[in-house]
Amino acid sequence: MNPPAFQRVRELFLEALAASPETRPALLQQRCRGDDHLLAEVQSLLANHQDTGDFLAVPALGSQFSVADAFVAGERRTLGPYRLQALLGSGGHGLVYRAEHLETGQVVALKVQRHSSGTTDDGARRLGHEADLLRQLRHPAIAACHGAGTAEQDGETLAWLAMELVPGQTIDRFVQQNDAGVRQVVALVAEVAAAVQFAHDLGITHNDLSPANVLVTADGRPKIVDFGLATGPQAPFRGAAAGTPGFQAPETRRAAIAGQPAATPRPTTGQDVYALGALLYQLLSGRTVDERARLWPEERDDEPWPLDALRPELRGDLCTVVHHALVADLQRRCASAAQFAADLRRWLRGEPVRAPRPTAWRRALRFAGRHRALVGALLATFVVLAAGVTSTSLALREAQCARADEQQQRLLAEARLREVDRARGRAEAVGDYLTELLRSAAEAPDGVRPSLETVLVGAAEQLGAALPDGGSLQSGMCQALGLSLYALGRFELAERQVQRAVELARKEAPLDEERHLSLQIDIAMARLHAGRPADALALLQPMRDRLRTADAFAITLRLRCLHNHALATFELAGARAARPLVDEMLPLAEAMPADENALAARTVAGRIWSAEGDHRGAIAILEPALRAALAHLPAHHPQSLILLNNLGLEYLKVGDRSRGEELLETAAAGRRLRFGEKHPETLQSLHNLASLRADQGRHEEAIALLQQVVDGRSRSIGPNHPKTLVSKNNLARQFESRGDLDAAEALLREVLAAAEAALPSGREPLLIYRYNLARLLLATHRPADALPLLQQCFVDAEALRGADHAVTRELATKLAQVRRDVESRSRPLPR
Amino acid sequence: MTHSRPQPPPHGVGSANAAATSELFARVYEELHAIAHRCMRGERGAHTLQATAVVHEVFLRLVRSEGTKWSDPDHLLAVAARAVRRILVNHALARRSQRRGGGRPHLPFDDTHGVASDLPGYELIALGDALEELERLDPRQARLVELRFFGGLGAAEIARVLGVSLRTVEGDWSLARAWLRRRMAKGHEE
Repeated sequence: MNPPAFQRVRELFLEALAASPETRPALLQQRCRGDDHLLAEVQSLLANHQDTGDFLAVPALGSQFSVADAFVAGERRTLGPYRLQALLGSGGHGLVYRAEHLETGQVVALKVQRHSSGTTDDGARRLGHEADLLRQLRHPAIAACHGAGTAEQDGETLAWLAMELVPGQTIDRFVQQNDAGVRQVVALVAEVAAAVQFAHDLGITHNDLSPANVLVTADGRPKIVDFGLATGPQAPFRGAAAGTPGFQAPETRRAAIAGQPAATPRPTTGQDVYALGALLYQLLSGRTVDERARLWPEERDDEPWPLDALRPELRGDLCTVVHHALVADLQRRCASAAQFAADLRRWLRGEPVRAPRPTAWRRALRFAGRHRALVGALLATFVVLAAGVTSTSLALREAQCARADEQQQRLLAEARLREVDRARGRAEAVGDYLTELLRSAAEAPDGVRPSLETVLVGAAEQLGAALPDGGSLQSGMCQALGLSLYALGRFELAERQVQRAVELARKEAPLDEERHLSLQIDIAMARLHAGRPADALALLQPMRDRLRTADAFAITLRLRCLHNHALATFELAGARAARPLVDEMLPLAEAMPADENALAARTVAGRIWSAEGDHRGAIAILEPALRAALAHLPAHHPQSLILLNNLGLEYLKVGDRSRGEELLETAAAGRRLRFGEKHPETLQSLHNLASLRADQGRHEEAIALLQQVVDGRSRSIGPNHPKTLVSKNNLARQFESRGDLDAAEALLREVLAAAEAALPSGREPLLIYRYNLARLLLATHRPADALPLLQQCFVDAEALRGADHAVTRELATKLAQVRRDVESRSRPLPR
Repeated sequence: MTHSRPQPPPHGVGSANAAATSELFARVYEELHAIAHRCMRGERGAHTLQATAVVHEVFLRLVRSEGTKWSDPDHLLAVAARAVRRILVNHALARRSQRRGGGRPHLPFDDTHGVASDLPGYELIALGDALEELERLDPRQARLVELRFFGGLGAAEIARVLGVSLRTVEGDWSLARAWLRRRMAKGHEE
């Protein structure tokens, strides 16, 4: 028994349980038609259910026992002058309760900690320090202190601190749930910053500002809570590293990593300023500032991704102000919380800000400084690119021949292969450089915002002019640009650049056939990903035959051609049609396990296996491919991300949810960072995450994700693209499970109409969309409307899957049932 | 006495929280375990430890715990319920091995509660095994049994902790009971 089968058992068991005992046998027979195993299983469970008696009825530790009592004290527990009501959570140290004053009835947030004798640094003493600090900090944006004391319980001394109970939520949740706009978020953080300055003026630093410690009341006022780590005149520094990961300034983070309490510097106001910047950065972008350093430690960069690379619409002054608070160098960081607050308010009023603006050029220089080696490698790379795939594949071809030869030759061949890998790495570096240049290109000095295309093409011209000769280098440049645009998801532009590369190369000399084919594949890939598989096939079809006849061609070229060909065929004509291509390319891929093209080929094979329902087979192909990708490609390589995503999906399909979830989340996080929110690959990941959330019953999250995907796909590939329709269909299903039947129906009708117009009749998606609409109509008691849809579904299912397929049989049953239902309704009621 | 290592609860948290969750579980487990042990050695005198006294102790112990953050009390309930399961099953295992190996007199954990489970120790072991199997088929049902049988929570509380409807809890509960009962009656299946 596997988890999906068990879910089927569960459904049927519960359905049978709800039915009356007399109708049960008939119901089970009907539902299990043909599946004797299922029938026996459910019957056996029902029999056991009847005999359960008081099995497990009384909890293991008695009927009076509940773990909840350990945390929610109810009426039984008082502490000092307070009666505990409910556990709110934990602060940095100890527990926090909602509690009511026994005499005044005032409701407070009560922090509770134990007093331990013999140590100088115990919880109770710290709570006392916190109370002392809070008594000075009378500020509307800081939760007030109502008193502190100790109480004896069971021979132990507990210290308590009563604080103003802030009825609200943490600032990040507030922003998320109220869909707060940029201005509201900025105003909130400005208010928090002013309160932090108030504390700084009294010589108190908070040291642990993070979303968890900033609450927002129902009427939208922020309150800072938890001064448990604060230092000030009454609260000496105890050597604890300040801050929550993700909100620590680089100097604090380094001290925390060093892990020597004695060496930990006393936290400064600079840490608080940084944390304020990090807070605003997170609220605006949804990411923490340390995500870059955590995910890509090899970049060794203390500064976070530019905020405007994550949210381009924030480009300009706001972005400047946020990054001013996040400067790694304490000396150059925004000098005070007051200055940060003032700049935010200037921005809100539309006035110029004081924070110095890093110009595009300075940011590019900073990038160049950081990647000195990379920039140095640029020229070499261009030469490689210009010499083209020719030299690369020449080396490879030699390597292939040598591999078949004697052992001595093999070592040489391997050395050559490594050289080829390095060359390919440099080619990728060009793409990375251009992408980074693009991200760095903030507003130009004259205020004109350069478009994506302008920056890339401009970069090409500038760098091209610096190189001695035109033709081949220019052509290589265009190809690199095309690949960069491709990496950015701008497939149409990419196609144009690569075509230009072909023209430029031709101008110089008659084009080497291999290079020509390689460029053609680039064009085909761009077409394929732009949603035009037929156009891609038109290029690939003749190429495949040409490549097959001459085994002189590099194996990588054949692989690239084949896997794109297979993908295009799969998208146009389904898995079965693509099978022969997979059979042709898999042996080639196995010959060179770590090659990127081989990995791509295996990815495609996994997809096709999956589409044929062989998920174990898909996992068997994808798992080693992922291992190879993680071992041989850079950590955030697009191919690794694809493999993570696809493998995650396969694990979900075989019921291994935790592995599936882990892989999908890793893929989605990687893509968001690597490609940004709107990139087709990111959208694909979000779509998959939505399916997972739906599966977990987290419908609201699923809906939010799907809406983002539908919007994104509608914009990039069009509202009626097959992929957009799948997302819309899933969104409708989520509306349905939320009970929003009208919205679900409208959307399903829209999807079906668009699919009918776009797809040849009888295709699988049409069957699914029709069936979903029919189901909804049945659920809303309109069997007559559902009947024609079901009839069509049955016809299609029979043609697609055969008469014996479980789906076809289920449809037949359903159809007969609905038909009877409609007929009985159309008969006049007996008098 | 040997114990299997405590496993973190299957909570729907991302990998970032996984470390914190497992640390929290280890802490709760340790606390509960220490209390149970102390009571069994009779350090608290002759009186029998009541289950409610256990939870009272847990409260005091958790108040002492420092450095672990959990923002969600429901999560804590799930952690504690799992710890109770682990302790009871481990004690049953320990008792069995002592019976086999002879030697020290056994200290029946469930007896010390006065209101102990109506399941004898060996059935607790079988239940532990069966639950592990159920966990593979449907983790949610296994957690439900944990919260209900070991944690002593009511249906409404369980629905909240698991984030599902009351009807789902009731349906899962009837299936889980039937499944576990059959599994424990006939031993391994498939």
